[in-house]
Amino acid sequence: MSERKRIMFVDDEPAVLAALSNILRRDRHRWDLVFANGGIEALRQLELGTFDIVITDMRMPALDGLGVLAAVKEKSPRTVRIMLSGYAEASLVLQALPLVHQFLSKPCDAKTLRGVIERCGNETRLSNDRTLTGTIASLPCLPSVPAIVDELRAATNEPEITIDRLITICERDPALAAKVLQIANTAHFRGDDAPTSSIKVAVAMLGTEVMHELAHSQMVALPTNDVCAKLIGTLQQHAVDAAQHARRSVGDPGRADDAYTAGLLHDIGRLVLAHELGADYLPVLERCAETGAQLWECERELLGLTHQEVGAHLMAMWALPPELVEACERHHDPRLLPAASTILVTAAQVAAEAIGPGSSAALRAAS
Amino acid sequence: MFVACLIAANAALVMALRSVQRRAAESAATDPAGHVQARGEVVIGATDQPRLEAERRELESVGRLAAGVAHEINTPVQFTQDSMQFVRESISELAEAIARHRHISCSLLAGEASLPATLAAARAAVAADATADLEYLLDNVPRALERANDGLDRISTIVRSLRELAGPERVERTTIDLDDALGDTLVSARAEYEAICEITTNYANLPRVAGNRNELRSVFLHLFGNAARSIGDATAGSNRRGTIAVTGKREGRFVTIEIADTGIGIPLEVRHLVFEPFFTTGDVGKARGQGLAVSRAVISKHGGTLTFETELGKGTTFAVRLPIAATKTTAGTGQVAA
Repeated sequence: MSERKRIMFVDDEPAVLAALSNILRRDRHRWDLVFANGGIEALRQLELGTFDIVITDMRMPALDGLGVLAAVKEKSPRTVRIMLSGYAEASLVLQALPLVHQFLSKPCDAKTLRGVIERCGNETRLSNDRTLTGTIASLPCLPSVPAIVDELRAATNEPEITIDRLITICERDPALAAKVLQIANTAHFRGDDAPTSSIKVAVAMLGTEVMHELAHSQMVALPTNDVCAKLIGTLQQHAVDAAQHARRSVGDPGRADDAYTAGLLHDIGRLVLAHELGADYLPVLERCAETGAQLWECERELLGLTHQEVGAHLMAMWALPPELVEACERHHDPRLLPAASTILVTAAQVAAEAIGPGSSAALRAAS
Repeated sequence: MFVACLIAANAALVMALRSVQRRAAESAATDPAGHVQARGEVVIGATDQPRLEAERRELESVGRLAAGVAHEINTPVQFTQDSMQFVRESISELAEAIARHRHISCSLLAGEASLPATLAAARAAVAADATADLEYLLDNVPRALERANDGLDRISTIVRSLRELAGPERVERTTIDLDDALGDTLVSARAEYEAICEITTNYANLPRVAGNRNELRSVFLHLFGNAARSIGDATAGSNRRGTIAVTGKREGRFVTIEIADTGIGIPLEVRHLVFEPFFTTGDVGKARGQGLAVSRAVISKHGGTLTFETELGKGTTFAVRLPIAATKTTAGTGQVAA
């Protein structure tokens, strides 16, 4: 833990870098900061060492921000890649999404910047497991249920499609919902508004055209391995059940949609593990079925990490609202006193407890 | 405060831009039958097609302008804001340091403290200076102020150029001796072309035009600069030198000044963008891409036209065409609405 976070800023404007180095001077004891003047200098710095976070401008001569981030992804997949841009068009955001974890917009004040740096790569347990952190960082998206993907693509092709219809589709698929929330919470779409946890709001912010573009992009994907293909239906049904339960569990109707999302995404880590590990995830499920132990206990024992941690890591990387990340991270956390937990954490806990890990018959069917 | 206003203005701009883009996208989504796709709320007759097309192009142009403004302004706002905050934080550190040292001086002068005690206090104060990073602050605060100043200059330049684009305004107008204005401009632009090319001039006794001398000079200056840069690109890596030929002639009620370079020419695919605000062939980050848009606005404000002819690999000729001043008087000033 003595290792200090290493952060590189890339901009073609020396004044921007000089001002950043001034303003972040007082963080010099906790962070190693490197300032690269332009894309080429950034590549040189990448040769010299690795970084935990790279924050780059978009428009630069010779090598632009996307070029820099592509090189970062190639060389050190676990690095958090952030775009700090003066202005980005919607289509650029979608195009950049496979390479960019988070978008910040200029001007971005020091407080916001510090907050982002502090939150990034702080999931200590996972940060130690460099392989899986790397894999999660290079995941552009998660697999969706094939039937829902078909439905979404067909719907966005219809001339008379309504936002409501798109919302009902996105609310049924955790991977899709997470992606939509990630995009809606980028600086471009969100502007100065507070982050949103509501799938309804997120889809409405994107609008039908961006949804059409998204549905037909590589950001919406299908399961790529047999285990995930078999599990995904069960996981999706489990997520929707939990979401509905979570929505009913909150008293405040204003938070009902947010609670729904917390429920829908609370087990997204299981989707990540099934997608990433494939057949290697089966021993965990078998152990779980044999011993009757909690899924996360079996994961901890056999994998050294849990689906809560994995899910929260991914959601933090995608800069989903911190409250949602927390709900995912703590939905099995028995140490948490009710008073200390947020409404969404409670909703996710209640839902997880009521629903359980999902039908064990289905889990066994997959193995 | 100023920065806060700018940010607010910028946010408004971005909001406007988004709505413009949405409208542009809606127009774009209109299929040939005139139905708006993927909306289901607006159905427009096929006869509106040409009008819609024109509107869409205009909206796209406004969209590009706003995007350019947002991008150009946000960068200086970013570093101006950061620099000012750094100065603010530094000032309070420096104030604390002054208080530390003043306390020692005062107690020494008042004869209250023994020498060993004062020495100890001084050592502690110097150590505290190091912890507070005083050297760095003293070194960097003036630079940060300078930087903030540059940032505000850049922002106001952008805002000023936008005002030019916005169209006619009341300006000081005189009748201008073009021979004189061109000659002056060539002298002040010398640094731009001296190393790159020769200048040939072929004009004499050009008729006077009515207008603002400084504005016209800024147009000429910009055209000379562009010509020199284009020649620089064409001759880069060789010993060759190019030529800028400046000619002027009277054509009926107009006077035309041509500035021809032997540069690289303008590629076909960007010719229609040359006068777009914020379009630039220069390096991103170096060129601002507003010069020609502003130049054209200035010339049309003077009742003239700015056009160009270009051939790839041969060069480009810009032609400034201005109406000859109506009065025969050699000099006269007056406040005239342009």
